[in-house]
Amino acid sequence: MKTVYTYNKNRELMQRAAKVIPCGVYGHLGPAEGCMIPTSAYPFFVTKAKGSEMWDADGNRFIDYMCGYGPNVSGYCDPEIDEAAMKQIAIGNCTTLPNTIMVDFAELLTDTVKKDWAFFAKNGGDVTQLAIMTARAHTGRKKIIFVNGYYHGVAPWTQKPDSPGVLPEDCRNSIYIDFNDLTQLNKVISDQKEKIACFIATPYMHGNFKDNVLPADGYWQEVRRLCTENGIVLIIDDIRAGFRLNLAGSDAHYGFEADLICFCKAIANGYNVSALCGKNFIKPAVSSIMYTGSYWMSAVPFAAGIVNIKKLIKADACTYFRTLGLRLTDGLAKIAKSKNVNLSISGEPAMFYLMIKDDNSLILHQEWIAECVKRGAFLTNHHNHFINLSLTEDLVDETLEICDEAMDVMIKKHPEVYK
Amino acid sequence: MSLKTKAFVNFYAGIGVLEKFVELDPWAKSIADQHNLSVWFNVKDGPNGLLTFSNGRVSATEYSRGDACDVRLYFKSCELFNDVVDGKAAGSPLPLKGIFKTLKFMGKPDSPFNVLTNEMANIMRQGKRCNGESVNELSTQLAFYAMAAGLAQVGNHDRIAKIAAARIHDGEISVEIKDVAAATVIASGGKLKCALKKSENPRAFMIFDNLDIAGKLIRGEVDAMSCLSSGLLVMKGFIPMLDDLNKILNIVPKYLS
Repeated sequence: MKTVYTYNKNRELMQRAAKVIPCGVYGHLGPAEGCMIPTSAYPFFVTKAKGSEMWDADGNRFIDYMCGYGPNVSGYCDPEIDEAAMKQIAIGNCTTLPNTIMVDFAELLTDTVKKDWAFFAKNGGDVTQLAIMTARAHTGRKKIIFVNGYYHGVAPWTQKPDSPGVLPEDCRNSIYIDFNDLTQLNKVISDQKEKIACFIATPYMHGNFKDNVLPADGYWQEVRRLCTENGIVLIIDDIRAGFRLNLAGSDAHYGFEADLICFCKAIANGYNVSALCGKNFIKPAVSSIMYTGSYWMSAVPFAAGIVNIKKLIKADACTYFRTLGLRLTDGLAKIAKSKNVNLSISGEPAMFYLMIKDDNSLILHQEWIAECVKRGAFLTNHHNHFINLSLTEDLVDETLEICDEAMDVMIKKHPEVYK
Repeated sequence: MSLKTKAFVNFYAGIGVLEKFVELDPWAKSIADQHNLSVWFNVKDGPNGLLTFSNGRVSATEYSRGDACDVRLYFKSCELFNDVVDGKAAGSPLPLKGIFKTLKFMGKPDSPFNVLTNEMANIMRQGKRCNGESVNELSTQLAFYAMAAGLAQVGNHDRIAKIAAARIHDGEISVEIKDVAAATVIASGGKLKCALKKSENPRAFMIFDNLDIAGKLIRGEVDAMSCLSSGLLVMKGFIPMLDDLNKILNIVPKYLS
């Protein structure tokens, strides 16, 4: 039997935090975003992290499958990456002119992802915003095609008009279609061809609260053809999946080429840098846009990013992520099957998504995940998970033991379902 | 703010909460016990509602053709209806049926309907009865039910809230103050209904930890996200339903003032 965690110090900290920080912890790391249900099962703050593990304010240890929601790709506190960052700190970070290392990083990144140029910023939303502006500058058109269930950041244009702080006008140029639906795409292009600046999507649908969906055979190739023929800029938001499926980018993974591709989370193993990468034909458009930020050319993340990308290449990281992801998800599937639990596992193994489908409220799933977390496997209820390079087979096997015991606890509470 | 939405909120969340007032408050029930009649509130371009007093219980439902009524009140506009409910009308509704019953039941300040609604409004707005007695718990409970009923109407009629309502998956959402009060928001085909009772088959739960936190949230003194972080508001089940419901909840207060 695993120890069941308690979170007294976490709760005390949250009370302190709530007095001086909106929501205590706002945004996707906070408990209010629907991925930590019930909040009583989750810690709120860590004191340290190393590799694939983290320790919370109460000293509880977790095997972490959220990886900071993506940035932890080579392992928390990786000594080689951190050493490169520390060396750069010693010689200059946020300086009047960019450090020479920016050019080195741009060359490595563009060479790795097979694009012609890289524009650096800090967060994913910075570069999805720039991608849209670039597409509009290039085409002189207004409209954006989105895929229903998308997430491209938190700027008003990425949201719906009923979101607090968003105006209907912010969404006036948005067109919504379903993923994998070429009929809908053909129709909107046919109806509004002269107005559409871009099509933006993630390489596959890794949304929340539903099975993740991979692209149908030939889908991306047909999207590519339609965009090319109709002068529509094809933007891939690879912020979450980038460097997890294919180091050359998820467009390469699925056999097509984006015009613009957005990277962030896994570029520099947690050091803050994002990048919009693109083809030469659209470089004049992006160059014409005044777009900048105080820290966007800081040198430390570039230094970390260089070592991180080289490390991922050397380790054939994406193959490793898939192998470990399959070890875990195959194990989970076997456990669930043995207990007659309908566990759905979807998405790419490197970014697996879990959902128990024995009720229509997801409460059984929430209860199972809660029991996993309280025993040291940090999973969230309704978000894809991440594999990182420091994860080991032993940690995966320990996770399976936790998930097995947690599933038994959940089943025992629901004799009305599991007879 | 839309006058039409306000009129629907006024009927179902304002007048409609008489159902719970009569259920929870012995004084109110004693008045309701004395009346068995139904009043059809016929508002042009607005709610077409039936308020029924029967055997000490009250219900506010949508009027269907053929429904029996003792009194029919016609309001020439949502604006007039809203002004009447808010007590600032220059004009008055046209009684198309039951003029004497209208006069007796609601024609004067001390008529039973007006006494009941005035008392309820006082309790909800000030936490006090007309005689000054403090009734904070009852006040919060009634405000909670008004919020739940208002959610459905705002979701169905407010221009922005309709966008969120249209996305809500079919099913029941249980909205509760733990161990104190419960209401059910029922989503079907992008339309919302509210039942002022506990859900029997919820897909999602929104549970306030106590009356105090529910009151603060209804009054806009705290926000839902902060309450979630602190554990004073629990959400579970099919969360996308609650995400969209929260967007409507943000809009409700401007109609409940």
